[in-house]
Amino acid sequence: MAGEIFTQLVDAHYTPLYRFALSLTRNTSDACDLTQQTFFIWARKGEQLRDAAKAKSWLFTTLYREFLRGRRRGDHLTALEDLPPGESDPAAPEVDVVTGMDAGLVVEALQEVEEVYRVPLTLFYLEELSYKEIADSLEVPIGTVMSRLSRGKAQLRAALAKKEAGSRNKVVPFASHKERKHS
Amino acid sequence: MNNDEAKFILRAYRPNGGDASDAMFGAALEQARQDPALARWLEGQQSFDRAVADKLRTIVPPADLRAAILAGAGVSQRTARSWWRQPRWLGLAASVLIIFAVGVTAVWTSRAQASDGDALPVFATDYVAGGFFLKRHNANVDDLRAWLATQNAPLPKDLPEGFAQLRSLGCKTLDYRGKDVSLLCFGEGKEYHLFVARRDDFPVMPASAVPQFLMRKGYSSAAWADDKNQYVVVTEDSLDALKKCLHCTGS
Repeated sequence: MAGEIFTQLVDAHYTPLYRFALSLTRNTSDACDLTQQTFFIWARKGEQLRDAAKAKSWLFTTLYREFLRGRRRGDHLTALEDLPPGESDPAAPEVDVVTGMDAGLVVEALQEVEEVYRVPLTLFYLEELSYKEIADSLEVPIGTVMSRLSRGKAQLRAALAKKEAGSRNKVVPFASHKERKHS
Repeated sequence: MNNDEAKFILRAYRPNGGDASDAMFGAALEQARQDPALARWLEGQQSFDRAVADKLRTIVPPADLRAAILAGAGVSQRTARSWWRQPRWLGLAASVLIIFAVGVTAVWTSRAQASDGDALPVFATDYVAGGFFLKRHNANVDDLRAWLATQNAPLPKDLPEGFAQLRSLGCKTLDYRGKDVSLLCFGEGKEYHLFVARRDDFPVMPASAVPQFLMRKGYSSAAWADDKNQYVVVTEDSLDALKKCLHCTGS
């Protein structure tokens, strides 16, 4: 029975957890390790969590803590703790452009966002946790989450615009290609 | 509330409507209903957020990840300590006790003059202090040994009996001076990390059967060797606890 519950838990959450891990670690192998490690800890300690409804928050929180624990220390997050929100939204690609973009490029843009903003921003876009749950997971005040989301979105828009411009510049117009070929 | 304040709040409003019943957004949403400019901004914001969220949802985990999670963590739910009670392990543990009991314990208080002898413990301590991810997770150490064997990595010949009180967490292989080193992690509360290197790979290293202790960066470590391998244990536990753990080998 415990095995069944565990399997259900894995099925329900391993995909968004992996996506969150990927945004943190920036590579597939470490994201897999981090996701596995999170469920491994659950298998060891999860039964101590009496409120099953909090399992999702627990898993995201644990994954983030394991990420912090597992990486080489270079903690420079606090300096950016309480920056004020961005005054305005920078230029961003049209929504249609984002929709037409390769998902990998969007993830790359997300990974270019500074970590302090990227963590809550990824949790926001995964849509699994509310801003209150994100605040609990990251152990920061709600206002800090809002501030980081605001700044994170601004950075993401800028990164997407850069990606979009970059991919546009790589396109070789068919006509000129044809002309070169026959010249 | 002015529009800038409303925007600040609404940037945290999830595009899937998951926050629709949250009172904190009520006033800002109402303001957007009253103010066409703010409404347009919100529509653009939500469209953008939805597009990004949709893209993120298309990222699919590797095909074998689910199976790996279930295999690794599922096994950890079993009690997997019975192997420690098997005679072969007790015998091996007893041999470690003998090595330990007849030896003189030396505590390294400085690494200022690092030699090959203390290079591996220093490397191991720094490696643990720096943090790392395991490649294989399993509460059954036999599974870890089997996995390490498939990697052609050094395999521990003996394990301290004190480790019988600890659950195995997982293992990985790593490179040290161009040679494979195995790392097996154990823990129940405090974690103990066992590094195993082949003696043949590091012939100039002293091969003392007597555990040598070191404190570094707040971590305790012990290093010793048998006829096959060099071993280093690193733990965040105290030096006394580490000595006690090793001393448990036959008591």
